[in-house]
Amino acid sequence: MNIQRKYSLPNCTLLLEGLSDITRAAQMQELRPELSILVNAECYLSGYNQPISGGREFFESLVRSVSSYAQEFLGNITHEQVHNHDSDLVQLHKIRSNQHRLIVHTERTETGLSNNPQENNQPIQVDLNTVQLFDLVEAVDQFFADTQTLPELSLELQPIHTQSSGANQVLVRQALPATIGVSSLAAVAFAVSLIPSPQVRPPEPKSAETQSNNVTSNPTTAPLASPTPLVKEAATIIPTSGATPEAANTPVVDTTPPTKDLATILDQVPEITDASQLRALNRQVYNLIHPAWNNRSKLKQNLIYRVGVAADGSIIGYKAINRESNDQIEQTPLPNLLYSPAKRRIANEPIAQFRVVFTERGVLEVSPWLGYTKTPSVIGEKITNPQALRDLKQKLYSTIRQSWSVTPSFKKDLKYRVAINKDGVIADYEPLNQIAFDNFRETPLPQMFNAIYGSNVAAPNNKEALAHFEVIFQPNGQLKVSPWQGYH
Amino acid sequence: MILDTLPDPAIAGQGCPRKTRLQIDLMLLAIEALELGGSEAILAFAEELDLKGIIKNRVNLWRMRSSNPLRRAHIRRPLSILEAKALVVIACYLARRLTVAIRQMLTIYQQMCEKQIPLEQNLRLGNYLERFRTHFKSRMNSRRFGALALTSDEKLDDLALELLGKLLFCTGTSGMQRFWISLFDGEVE
Repeated sequence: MNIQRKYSLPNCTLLLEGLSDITRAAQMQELRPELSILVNAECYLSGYNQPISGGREFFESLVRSVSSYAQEFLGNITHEQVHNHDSDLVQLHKIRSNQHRLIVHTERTETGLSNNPQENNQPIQVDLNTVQLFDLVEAVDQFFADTQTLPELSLELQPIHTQSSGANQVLVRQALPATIGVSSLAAVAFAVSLIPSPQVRPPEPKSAETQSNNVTSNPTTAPLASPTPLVKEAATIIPTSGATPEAANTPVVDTTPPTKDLATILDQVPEITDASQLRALNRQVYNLIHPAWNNRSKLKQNLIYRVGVAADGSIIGYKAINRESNDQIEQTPLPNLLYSPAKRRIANEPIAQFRVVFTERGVLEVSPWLGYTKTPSVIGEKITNPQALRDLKQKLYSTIRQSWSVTPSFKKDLKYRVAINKDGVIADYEPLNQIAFDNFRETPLPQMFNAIYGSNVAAPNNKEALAHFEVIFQPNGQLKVSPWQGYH
Repeated sequence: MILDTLPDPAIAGQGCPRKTRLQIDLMLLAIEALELGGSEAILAFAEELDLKGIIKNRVNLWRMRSSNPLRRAHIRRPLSILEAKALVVIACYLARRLTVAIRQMLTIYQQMCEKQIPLEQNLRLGNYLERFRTHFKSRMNSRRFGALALTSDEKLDDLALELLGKLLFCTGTSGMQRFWISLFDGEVE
């Protein structure tokens, strides 16, 4: 299907011609189908007697350069993006404060798209005044705002920084393990708070396996749900974690405070072992520790702790598993996150235990200390009416589809569990595979969540019934929503 | 909330950098030069946009703007990110309301430059430039703005026209975001 899009301003008109992706169009049945394949782009400028035209490469270069130059104009700071790429088809230069020069080189793959063959060797040059420049920027911004036209191109603004120091770069990268979304500007700084803290890291199968092996091979340390004390003293902790190389080579050293005496607490209370409850608590623990962990680049080796958590998710005790972890406890946020026992009056409160690893690469890992006894399921009331589920599924699909407009940079499917209430409002989401965890910012989920709850920490325990779906973002831009079938 | 459309920049500490405080105040000053009763309009918009929680009253507004280091009455008070956002949102709404006037004046400016006619000869443009100079001189500390080489009326006119161009950019579809992000160019770590 041939589609035209026009963004028209007094001094500038952008005209795009293209096609719709047939498979997607059939699926969506929209009134205004998506222009997903660009065939030709034309830019009409007042003061230049013919359209400047080209294909995808020209258009991408145009929107990138124009957007970048607009920021340069506003910020009075030269954006390297504009000036560092002489190879760019479209360039903008400042002549005077109210005169701006647009230079358009001919597309390398030119096949007669330009109306005038003589122009092929010579770049087009147009001088714009500030109002004309603004109209060009505005046409481009209207295009960016149009989610039905080349949705993978969207406006990404980030402040540029001048004092770039290598150390800072490393820090930022380590503190934020996920990759940044496709950026149309060569931005070098991350707006940190734009990037909400990730929801959860699913327990790594490897460590779970290690632990379950450990349980079978070392029966003395596997009292699972037994109300008997798990840990009497530090020495017994070491064999428990004997399967982990970090601990294996470490001499046993008693870990006296600052760690709170987890063993004493566990002496007196039952342990939470229900897989579903553990899974939910696992997320809470992650969401509690993750945002509080600063200075992630400082660790020389992995620091590992056994952490006791109450049913409401508060940390009530922890114990380092080796000397290094104990010595460097202050490098972790655990001391600050410890729930003050003074405020706590519940006797015999059950406790769940988690293995919390602060890796030297700056990654936080949380998993149940003894793994899951069976596949966990999602806790809470669920919406079960099939008709309601069908409607909600459609609703969720269109909500995500509308706000997902970034070109995927990931190579594999991103899988999430997304829960919505009867009104279709997002109540929870959880990455289901590692790549989903690493790239969650490329999805609209954090924004959708943040828009409602004002933060990205998991929603407060939701009492209302929810519908759960598995949502898959595919590298080719396809979106799949299916009813939740449980964790695999 | 409207402020959520503006992302938090990656800057150290809670307060806005010098450049941000300076630029926001100057943009508001340009609006006041464009429109009589501009400062009333700022407060009115704070009410209308439900930003009264941040910009509470005239004194509060004045204190925020006095975080501009060029001000005579410069106060060593930080301008929080939230306050800066509120001021930017209001500036952009005011600019949007003045879109037609801003466009016309910039077009006239262009034409007069081409014909080399002194700008004062246009009543509207002349008024704007004069009001801007007056506002600027009465509120800014001359020793401080001398350091920025804003020493002559011509220099102040250049600044006023530059701000007028920036105000036009604030009126666009993504103008608010663009202006906001530009305030932290060169300031983020």
